[in-house]
Amino acid sequence: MMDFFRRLFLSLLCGLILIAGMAQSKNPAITVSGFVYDAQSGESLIGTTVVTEDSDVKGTVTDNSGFFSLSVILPATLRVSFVGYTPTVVNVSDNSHPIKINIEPAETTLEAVEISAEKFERETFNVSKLNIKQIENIPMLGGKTDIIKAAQLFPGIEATNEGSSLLIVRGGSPGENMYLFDRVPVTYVNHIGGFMSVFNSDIINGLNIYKGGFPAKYGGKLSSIVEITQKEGNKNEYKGSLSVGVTDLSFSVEGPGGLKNSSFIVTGRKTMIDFLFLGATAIAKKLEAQDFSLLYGFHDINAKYSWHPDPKNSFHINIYEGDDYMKHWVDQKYKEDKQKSSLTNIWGNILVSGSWNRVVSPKIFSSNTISYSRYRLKKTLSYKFTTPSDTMSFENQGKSILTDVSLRSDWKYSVCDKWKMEFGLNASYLQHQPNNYFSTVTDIFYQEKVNAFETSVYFDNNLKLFSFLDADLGVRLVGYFTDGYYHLAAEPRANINFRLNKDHTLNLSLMRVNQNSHLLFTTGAIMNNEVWVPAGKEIPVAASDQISAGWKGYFAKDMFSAEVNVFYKNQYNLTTYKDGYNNLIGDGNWREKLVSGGRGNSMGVELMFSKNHGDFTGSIGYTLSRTTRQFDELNEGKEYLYEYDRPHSLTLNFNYRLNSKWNFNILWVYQTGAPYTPIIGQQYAPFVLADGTIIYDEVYVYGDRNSARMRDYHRLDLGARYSYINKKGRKAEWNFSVYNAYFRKNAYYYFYSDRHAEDWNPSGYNPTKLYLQWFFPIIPTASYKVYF
Amino acid sequence: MLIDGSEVSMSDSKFVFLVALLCAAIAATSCYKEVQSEFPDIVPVPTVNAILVDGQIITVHVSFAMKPGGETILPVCDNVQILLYENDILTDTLIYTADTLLINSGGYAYYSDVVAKAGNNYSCIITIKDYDTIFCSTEIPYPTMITDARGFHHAGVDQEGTVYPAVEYSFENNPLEKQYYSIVPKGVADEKIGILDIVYIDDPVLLNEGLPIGVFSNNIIEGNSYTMKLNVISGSSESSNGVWFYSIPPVVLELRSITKDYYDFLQRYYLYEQAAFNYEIFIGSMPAHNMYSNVENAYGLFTGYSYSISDTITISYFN
Repeated sequence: MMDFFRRLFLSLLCGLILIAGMAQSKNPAITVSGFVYDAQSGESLIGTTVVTEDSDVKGTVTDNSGFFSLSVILPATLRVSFVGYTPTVVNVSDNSHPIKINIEPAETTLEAVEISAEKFERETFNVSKLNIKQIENIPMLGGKTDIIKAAQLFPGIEATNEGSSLLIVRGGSPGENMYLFDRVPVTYVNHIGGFMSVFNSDIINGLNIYKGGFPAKYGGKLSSIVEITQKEGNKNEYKGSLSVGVTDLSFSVEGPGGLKNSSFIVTGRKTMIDFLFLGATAIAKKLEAQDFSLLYGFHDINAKYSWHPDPKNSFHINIYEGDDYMKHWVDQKYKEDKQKSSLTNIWGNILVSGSWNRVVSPKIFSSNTISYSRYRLKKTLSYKFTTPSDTMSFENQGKSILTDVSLRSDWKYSVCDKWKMEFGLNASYLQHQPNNYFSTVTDIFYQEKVNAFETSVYFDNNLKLFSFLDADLGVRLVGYFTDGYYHLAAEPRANINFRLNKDHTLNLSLMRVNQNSHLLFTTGAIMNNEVWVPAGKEIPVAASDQISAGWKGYFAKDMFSAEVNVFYKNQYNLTTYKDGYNNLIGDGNWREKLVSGGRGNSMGVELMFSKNHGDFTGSIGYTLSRTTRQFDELNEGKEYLYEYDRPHSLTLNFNYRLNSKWNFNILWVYQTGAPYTPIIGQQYAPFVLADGTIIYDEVYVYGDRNSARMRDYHRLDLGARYSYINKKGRKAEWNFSVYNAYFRKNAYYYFYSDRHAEDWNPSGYNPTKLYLQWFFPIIPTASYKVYF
Repeated sequence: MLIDGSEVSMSDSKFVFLVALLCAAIAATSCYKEVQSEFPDIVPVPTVNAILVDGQIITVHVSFAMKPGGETILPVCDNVQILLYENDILTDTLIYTADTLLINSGGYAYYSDVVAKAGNNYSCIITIKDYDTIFCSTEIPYPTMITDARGFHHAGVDQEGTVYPAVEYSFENNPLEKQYYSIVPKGVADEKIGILDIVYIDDPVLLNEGLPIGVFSNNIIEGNSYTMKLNVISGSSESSNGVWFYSIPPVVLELRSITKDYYDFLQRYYLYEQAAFNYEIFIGSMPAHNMYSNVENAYGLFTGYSYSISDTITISYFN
C-alpha cells in the first residue's frame, strides 16, 4: 500500500502543480487577508465565512486564529457571516494591511448564516466538527456539557465504555488520538477515569476530529487528530459565569488584559464529591466504624492571555493545570505517640505554551508555538511514627511521567487563487519515565529516563484544479531518535474532492501515519490506568495506513445533508500488555510485561443524515464496522475481535427550539454488544497446600478471545434547556437531563461466578453462571449557570 | 417554580446541591443480573496433572474437562494406561487408586511406586480410548539450600498504619545457570500450618517479576548468593500502646527449586485469577485467558520440584 501511496502522490503532485501554475498566470486577482472578530468582545471568530459579493462567488472560512486569505479582484466587497452574528459587508480597496473585520452578535440570523457557512466547508471529509453552541442542548451524564462526549455522536467515533469520554475512532485505541489544545498536545484527557474529559466547555470554542485523511501538518497518532480551540477573552469588558452541576462547580472570568487589544480568560472546575467523601468518612469515624479518611476529586484550571498589538501580529499564552487525586490516610494519637500514614494517588497534566501569529504578507501567514507539557501519574505511600524520644518514617513512591517540550512553526502561503500551500516543522523533546520507583525502606531506586527527539517537516498543497476537482496533496517527513535507536519515515497524504455539481461531492483520501509512543491502557480502571512507553529497540514504532472514500450531498436548499464514508485501515507494530497484566508501576522489568508487533485492521461504512435548519434540527448517524487485532503472543496468535469492536452503531439526535427560552433534545443510542471471552469448559489444575499435599482445583477453560458478545446496548436520553434573564438582570440557564430514560440495564461488563446466584448454597456445590454488571440506572440531573 | 424562570437566582444553589446529592446517590447504585444463557456442549477433553516432588512417590491425576454449569464435579478417567519413564527407561505402569484427599476432585488418581529424585527426567505416555496419545515430560531440579534466615518485627507500615514484619533468607546462586524458585513462607501454630501472605514487595528480585507472589528466577541475581526479604502477614493484627501491628506465628521458609514450566504455570495461575475474578470498576479489566499447559494432546501440567527448608523463625513485635 505504501508504494501505491507514494506513486499516486508524486504523480498527482507534479501534474497538479503544473496546472495550477498555468492557472496562476492567467489570473489577475490579488490576495487579501485579515481577521474576523466579535465586535463586542474582540474575540477572534473561528469558522467564519468570508465571501466575495460578485457574480463569481469565491469564499473561504477563517482558521483557528480567525485568519483568512482570499484572492479577489480589487476593489472588492466581502460579505462576512457566522452562526449567531449579523452578516457584515466590507469594502476592500487594497491589500497593504490585513483587514480587521468586526461583526455584531445577533440571534435572529441563524439560518442565512448557516447556509453560507456550509457552502465553503463542503470539501471537508473524514472530519467531525462541533462548536460549543451545537452541543449545549445535548443531554449529558452529570448535566454538564462535555465536548468530547458530544463528539461520540458522530459515526466512526465511540466511547470505550458507557459514560466514558475516551474515544475510539475507527477502531483505534484510546491512545491513538492526538489531542491538540490550541495546537499543543495534551497527554491525559480524562477525569474520573474517563467519565469526564479535561476540556472545560467554558473555554472551548470548538473542535474538529480528523478520523482519516489527516492534513500533512498533523501526525504522531494513528487514529485521530482532535483539534480543540480555546476562546479568547473579552477585550472590551469584564464578564464571567458560575455553574453548579452534579459533578462539579465551575467558573469563568474574562476581560481586557491591560495592554491595548489584549484580553484574558480564566476558567476552572472543582469536583463536589470531595466533600461527600470527607463527610461520609468523618461520620464513619465518629461512629467508630473506621479509623481512616478517604478523599477523591479533581480540579482543572485554564488560562489564556491574548494580545494583538497591531493587525499583523498576535501573541497568546496558555496555561492548563489539572489533576485527579485519591487519598487515603490515617492519623492516630496515643498519649504522646503519634502515627500518620497516607496513600496518595495523583495524576494529571500541566501545560504551558506561548504562540506568535504573524501576517507576513497578504499571502503569507505564520503561526509559531513553543510549549511545555507534562503528564504524571504518582502513587505515594508515606508513614511517620513519632514518640517523645524517637521518630521513624519511610516513603515508597511509584511514578510514570511523560514530559514534552515542543516547538512548532506553521506557515500558510497563498500562491494564487488556485493554489494554497501549507508547510512547517515540529520538533519535540520527549522524556519518558514510564516506571520510576523508590523506597526509603529498602533503598530501591528505579529512575529510568528515556529521552527521545521527534521531528517532522511537512508540505501540503491545496490545489483547485478545475471547477469540479480539487486536491490536498502533501507529505510529512518524520524522524524519531532515542537511545541507540532511530526511525525515519515519509507519510504521504492525499485528499481529492470531485464535485458532481454544486450540491454533491465525492472524496478519496489516503494517508500513512506513525506513532512513536504507546499507551498502555486498562479498561475501566480509575487510577494508574494510563502509562506511556516509548518506542525503542524492543518496542517498534507503530504505523497505520488508511484509505477512505465518501460522498456528501445537500438537498432542499441545504435544509438536509447526507454523507457516506467508507474506510479501510491497517495498523502495524501495536503494543499492549501481556495476558494478565494491567499495571507497570513499581515493576523494574516492565518491558517483559508487554507484547509488541501486533496488527490491527478496521473497516467500515459511516452514514450521516442531518436536518440543518429550522426550529427542529437533528441527525441520524450509523456505522457498520469490524475491528480486529492480532498478536503472536495473545490468543495463540490467532486474530481476534478488538474489545471495542461494535459492528452496528446508531445514533438519533433531535433538537427542538420551542421559543427563545426553551430548547428540547432527545437522543437515542444503539450499539451491538461488546465482545467478551466466553468460558467453554472447566478443568482441574494442581495446587500444593502448605503441608505439601497436592490437590486439584477447578479452573475455567476459555474459548477464543472476544468470541462472544454481550447483549446490545441502547439508551434514551432527554434534555431541556431554559435560558432567561434573572431578577438581577443577568443571563442564566437551567439544564435538565434524564440519562437512560427507560432504565435499560446496559452491561458494563460480563463476569462468571458461582457465588452470585440467588439460590447460592454456602455449603454445597454451586454451578458457574454468567452475570452482567451494570452501573448506570435512570439518572436525572440538573445544572445551573449564571453569567455576570 | 421554573415556569417563567424569573424567580430563580443563585440563592437556589441549595436546591441544586440537593439535586446533586440525590443524583450522585442514584448514580452510585449499581447491580448485576444473571444472563440467561446455556454453556455450549463440548467434547470432553482429557486433563493430566502431576507435580513430582523430590523424595515422594509419583502421582498422576487424569480427568476430563467438561462444560461448566453442571451439578457435579468434573469426572476422573478410570480406564487410562499410564506408562512412566525415568531417564527414558520404562519404569512403571501407574495404578488407578482411590484417595480420600482427592474427594473434591474425583477421589482417584494414578499411583506409582517410584520415588521422584532431583536431577532425573520423568515422562509419561498416556493412552485413553478414542483419544490421541498424550505425552508429558519434566526434569526435577536439584534443591537450593537456604543458608541463613532471620526475622524483623518492624519492616514497614501499611496504608492503614499497621506495622508489618519481614523475614530475610539467603541462598546460594549459580549465575551461569538459569534457575527458578518458589518461596513459600509457612506459619506454624499449634501443629497447624498455613501459608503467609507476601505483601508490599520491595525486594528487587521479586519486584523484577512484577507479580505479588513469591515466584522468581535468578535472572538478575549476579553473585554467588542472594539474600531476599519478604514482608509477610497472617491476617491478624493487634495493638499495643495505640500502635497496630500484624502478629504472625513462627515462620518456616520452604524454598522450592522449580522447573521453567512450573514457574510459567504459577505466574499464569496468578494472572488467570486476576483476569477471571478481579474485574472491578476501580481496578479495570484484563482479558481472560487459559491456564498454562505443557501436556501434549491434553490440558494440564506435568512438572516437579525439590525443596529446602529453613530453621523456624520467631518474630515478636515486642522483641
